[in-house]
Amino acid sequence: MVSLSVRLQRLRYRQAFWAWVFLSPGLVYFAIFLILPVLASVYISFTNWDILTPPRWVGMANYTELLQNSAIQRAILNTFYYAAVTIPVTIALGLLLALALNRAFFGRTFFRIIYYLPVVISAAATALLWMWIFQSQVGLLNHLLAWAGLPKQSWLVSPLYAMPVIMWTGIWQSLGWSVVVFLAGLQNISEMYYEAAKIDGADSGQLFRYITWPLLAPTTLFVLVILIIGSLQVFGTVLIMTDGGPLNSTTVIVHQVYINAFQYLRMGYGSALGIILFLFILLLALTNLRLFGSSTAQ
Amino acid sequence: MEKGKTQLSRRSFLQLSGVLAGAAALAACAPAVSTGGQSGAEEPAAQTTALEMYTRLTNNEQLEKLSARYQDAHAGSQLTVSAFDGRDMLTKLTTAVAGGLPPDLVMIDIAFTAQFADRNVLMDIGPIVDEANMREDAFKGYDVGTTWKGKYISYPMWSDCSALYYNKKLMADAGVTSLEGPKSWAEVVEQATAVSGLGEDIWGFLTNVTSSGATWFLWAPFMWAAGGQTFNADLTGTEFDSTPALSAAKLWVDMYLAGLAPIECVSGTWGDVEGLFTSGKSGMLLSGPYMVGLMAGQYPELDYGITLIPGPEAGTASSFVGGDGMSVIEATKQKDAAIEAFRWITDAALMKEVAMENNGTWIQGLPPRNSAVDAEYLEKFPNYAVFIDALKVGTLVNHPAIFEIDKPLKLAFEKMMLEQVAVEDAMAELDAAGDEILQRYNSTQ
Repeated sequence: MVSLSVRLQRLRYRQAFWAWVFLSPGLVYFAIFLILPVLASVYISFTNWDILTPPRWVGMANYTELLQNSAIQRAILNTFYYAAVTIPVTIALGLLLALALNRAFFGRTFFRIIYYLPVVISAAATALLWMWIFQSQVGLLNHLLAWAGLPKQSWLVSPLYAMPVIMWTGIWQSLGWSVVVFLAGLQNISEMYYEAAKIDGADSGQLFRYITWPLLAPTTLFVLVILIIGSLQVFGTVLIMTDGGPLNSTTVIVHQVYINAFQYLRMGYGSALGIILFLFILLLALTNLRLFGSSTAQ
Repeated sequence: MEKGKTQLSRRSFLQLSGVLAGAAALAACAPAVSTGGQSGAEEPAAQTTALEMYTRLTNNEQLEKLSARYQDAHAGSQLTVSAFDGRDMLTKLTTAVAGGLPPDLVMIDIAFTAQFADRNVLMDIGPIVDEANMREDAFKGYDVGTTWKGKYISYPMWSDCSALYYNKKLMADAGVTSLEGPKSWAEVVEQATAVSGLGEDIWGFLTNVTSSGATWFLWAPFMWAAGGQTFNADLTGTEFDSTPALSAAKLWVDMYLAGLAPIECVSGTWGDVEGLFTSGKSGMLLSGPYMVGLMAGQYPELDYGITLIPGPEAGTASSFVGGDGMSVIEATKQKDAAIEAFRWITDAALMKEVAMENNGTWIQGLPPRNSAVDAEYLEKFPNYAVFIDALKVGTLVNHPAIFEIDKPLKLAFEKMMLEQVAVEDAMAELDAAGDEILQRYNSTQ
């Protein structure tokens, strides 16, 4: 006679077996299309490989070279400059608009759609649209400036203005997404808290400071992490609008990965740069989780 | 479940479905079986041949018609044209070759053939070209770009080259007496200064250093016309710090700093620059033959002339001799058919016939063979005469790392023009960067 504990153990094994069977398609997919390419990328970063000839092991040479390359250094600085400006602005504007759109007023749905529309437009179309607006000779913005009696500006062709224009384009495109996420977060906050605070005499500033902002912390953390990842990977708008110029003022890490790997066929060098980017993203994401994760959990 | 019954329980059914779904997903990951007719597929000689040709020209009507015409001329054979926009074609060709499914032929920017020739992707077509006396018939400017390490790897397919357009009306308004266009650097500066004096929004000289390859296409001819070279004889270093290169760079930089050219010339798009000329706001523009068709169609009122890019002294000139070359892929499994297609599509009579029917245009530019551009052609399309001369006096840069040198070249001009870095310093830095790229490339081969 089989004891109850043995039967339970068999049941557990059987359940585990079938769990693995059902998980295996996903795991196989995950391993083939994610884990293996990542491991291959790590290996390639230690080689000299042009796709057409066999890779040759070069050790740390790619990493050493990229740390000495002035264009790469500029790209890293530009990427953090882009992230440092676009992330706070997108979060602040997104929250502000979400607070506004969370109130009941005529045309609210229309405005929600309008703000979300740029999110569904492709990066290429967005880049072309803003290129036409910021074009220095016949662009819409310079026409408006001239109409207002102000001097024309060399937007995308000036090392001073080119990056701010790229940033504006990025903010315009991702703002709608942060608005929607913040809206969802706001709608999860129970009215009960606000009513209780109002009875205690809290004004609107205090309501935001002591109820809305703390209860939105998990949402803010989510938006922050996703925006960090997105802004460190900015590429499409840069490639189309400026191709990294003028004077490398808009080149970013992924742009350097692209030109080295796919234009110069330096796959090893491009992979090394990709690994550096991965480490930056990992470090920032972990820092955020460490700094804000505990308060969010509370 | 009762004994002896074959009915499945719900749990068993789900378990079985899961296993089958997993197996189906794995099966879907397996490589597809070739259905034949694909490039690279083994086919019996008696069966039809299906060739594939890669090009960077998307929606090119002439290529589509040529494909159909090839089929008519070769019963049972096909020539499929696969187009990938611009630089994507280079990536696509690289991955197709690496993946073992290359096309049979490729029409590739002739400046980039060396990077594939150096990796043994392209067949040596020297014997085929010599057999038909085609080598000498190609314009002289192609002597450099068609060979690599002693192999003839690409035959000129259609021509593009740089020349100097000038606005006759603005020149006349500015008091320029000769309307033949500038014939020396001194005349370029003199006429650009005169035109620029016509108004605040009128520019004397337009160029472009931003667009990919634009500095090679537009500035390098000034260096070559002054007697300069891009690389040293054994291709181990660049020559950007030579006297001709410095003087050619100084010419451009001085004109920009003197206010004869707008900032768009340094960091604007090609469209920005071109628009200034077509809207009648500039005295001169450096560009290729495609502008002739563009202006005839969209700006017929613009009174312009074209001249060769002059050297420092009258009587010297140069041009960047570009366009696409036609190559046969070394790994093609239909070698004979691919060579036959190569011969057919590079035929001079075919080039001339198609060009005569299409306002002088062959594929995307001009026919690259002397025998295709005869007196009859030039009489019918006189605006292209200067470009034909340019194809004879111009040359090309030819090295697998040219793409990589393009970035520091562009950056050097941005530094000289936007940051006013001394020409000697910026060009010395460029030369060092060029040397480093070549040395690194050579050391990895």
